[in-house]
Amino acid sequence: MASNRSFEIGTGLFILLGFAALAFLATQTTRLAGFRAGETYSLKARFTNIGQLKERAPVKLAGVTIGSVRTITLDPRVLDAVVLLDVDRRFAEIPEDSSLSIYTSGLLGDQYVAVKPGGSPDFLADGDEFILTESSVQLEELIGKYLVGGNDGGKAAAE
Amino acid sequence: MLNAVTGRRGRYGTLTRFPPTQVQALNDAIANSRGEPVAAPVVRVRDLATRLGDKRIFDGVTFDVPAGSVLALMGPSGTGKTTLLRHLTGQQPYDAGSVQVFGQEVAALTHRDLYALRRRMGMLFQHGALLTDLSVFDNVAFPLRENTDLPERLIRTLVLMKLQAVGLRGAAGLMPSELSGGMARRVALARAIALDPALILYDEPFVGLDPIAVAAVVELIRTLNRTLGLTSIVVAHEIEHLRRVADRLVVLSGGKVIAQGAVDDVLADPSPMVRQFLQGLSDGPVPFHYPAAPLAGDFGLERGR
Amino acid sequence: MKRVPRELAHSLGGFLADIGVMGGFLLRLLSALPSSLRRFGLHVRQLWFIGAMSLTIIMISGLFVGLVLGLQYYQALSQFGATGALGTLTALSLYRELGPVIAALLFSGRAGTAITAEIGLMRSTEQLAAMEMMAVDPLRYVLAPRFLAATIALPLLCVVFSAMAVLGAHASAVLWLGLDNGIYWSSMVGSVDFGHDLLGGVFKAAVFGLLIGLISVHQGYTARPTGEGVAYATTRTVIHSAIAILAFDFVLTAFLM
Repeated sequence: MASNRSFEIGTGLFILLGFAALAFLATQTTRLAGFRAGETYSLKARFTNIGQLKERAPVKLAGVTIGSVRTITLDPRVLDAVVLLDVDRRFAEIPEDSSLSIYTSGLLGDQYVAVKPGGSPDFLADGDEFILTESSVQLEELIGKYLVGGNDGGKAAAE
Repeated sequence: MLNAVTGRRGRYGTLTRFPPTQVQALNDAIANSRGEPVAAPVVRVRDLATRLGDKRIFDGVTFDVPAGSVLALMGPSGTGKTTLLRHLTGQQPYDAGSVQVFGQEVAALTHRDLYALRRRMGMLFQHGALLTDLSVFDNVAFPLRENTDLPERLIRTLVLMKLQAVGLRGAAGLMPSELSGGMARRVALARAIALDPALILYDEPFVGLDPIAVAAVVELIRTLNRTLGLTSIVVAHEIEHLRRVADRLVVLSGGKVIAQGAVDDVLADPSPMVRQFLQGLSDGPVPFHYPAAPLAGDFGLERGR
Repeated sequence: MKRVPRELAHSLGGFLADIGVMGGFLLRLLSALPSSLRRFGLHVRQLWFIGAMSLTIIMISGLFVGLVLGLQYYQALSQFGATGALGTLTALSLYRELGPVIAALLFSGRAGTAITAEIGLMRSTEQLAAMEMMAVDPLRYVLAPRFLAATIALPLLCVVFSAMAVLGAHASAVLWLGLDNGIYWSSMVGSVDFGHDLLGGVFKAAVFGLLIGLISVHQGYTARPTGEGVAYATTRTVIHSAIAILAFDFVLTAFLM
């Protein structure tokens, strides 16, 4: 029966190793690592174009992930994209005149929502809406403008 | 009955053909006249027929195994002796006829009842079939542990008793790979009797053993039969060994029983099939040559081909 | 030439029949599982032999796959100046495809063949018949524990494989080729989802483990009881497992991911 015991210990270690590897990958290489879903509050924003933004995309302030995109819907009346953000309670002091932009990480990476903090002493509360938003920069549009406005470089640059 | 089989009557050597049901009646009558008890047969096979693909393995096999007796089952290789054992244990279905063990029709049993039936049967496989990853002790303990809730202390006592009975108590700690062929078969025998079965089947117990090991196995089969009152079926070819263990003999050939009865009577049977088999003649009713086209054709000797 | 469609139809019919047989066999195995779980020691033993004993090949292969991925992706991505995406690419391709599939193929070669050969040998030495005669159902005692162990072991091995590969890619891309350490890790963190990507891959591996367990156990159990028959069954285990893994990979990727 002594050999049975060592099988049990060995098998236990094997299972443990498997879960350790899972924990390593989960904490070091997945979204769990940068942002753990704790207590959140939600903020709203409207964009005229959200580009390739997807649900669960990160929300960053000064490059630090502070939350994620919960839902993206279309307001049928105004024809704006309405984006709901979940922001961690730890980052409760976002000035109410902060602006939102949709950026791309790297040249071909995923898109994320960037918060540019304003200077107001009042902070956004649960359910509030960002006033200032900047739509996604469309690569195709940029290229198109550059090509069309090739004769008039100044005009393209001004845009 | 469609298939009459050879029956033997009395000790005067008069050979007559009887329908199978009468053979049993006759045998009982003979036993009665000798003052032997007539017990209900432990195994009862009637008109058994089996096909394997296109091949007809059995065609109207009928015999009984009376309680407490040792029946030897003989026949040329390929006559399906092992298949017959597998019919008895319910490991292979048959096509027609009836196979009853302890009065139960094997083919009609549910999975659960079949396993209950097998607990009352032991089987010694041709090469022992010990579980290779268990020690000798654990092999013998295996059926006890799996089928009973006995405490480990009692199992230990039982296992050592069974091993003592086959003379291998000292080998309890060995692994099957460390045993000789004869020892492995004796351990397998200890395992087969672990659950104290009422019927035990031996599949070729003498094959590949040296004379000493054969003598040991012969001795064990006899002792088990006499002391425990086991009913036994021994499948083997070796007439000289079977004479020493068997009460009755059934000779199978070509899917039929060609002779059955008390050992000495069958050995004295004059029919050519039985003679050829028992005396070991290479040619006879069972031809030496596998059926083939005429020889001349194969060698291109036919005229004007 | 006219024979081809008929042979194709014939083999298609055989294929469908095989699926039916395997389905029935799976049901028999599953129904034998609950009563077999009472012999817990058997399952622990099989998990050791099937799972833990495959660790070496899985870890070494994982490391080398990672090293190669690091080199190849670095070379390919540096043409677009996008080496920053190396971590993302490595992690996603590993978690979603390479980890489960390569680990499963290795596992079928290492453990699947061992299961088939062992059970086939037990068949040819009449050990299975002996068990039946001792009123012990081999399905419960021999087959079910190996089947379950394969299903449990492969997801664990797959995660270990991916972890080793992530470390391997780190070694070649960061330590050797000089990619920034922070970029390597953060690019993963930014775009790899725990549930969807990592656990999705683990789920795939569990399905592959179930398939390998089912195929190898079935091949061993139905092997012809000769040395030749066991060798043939072992080969079939590898072939059938590989086909099943890749086919189910397509199905799972198409419909679940």
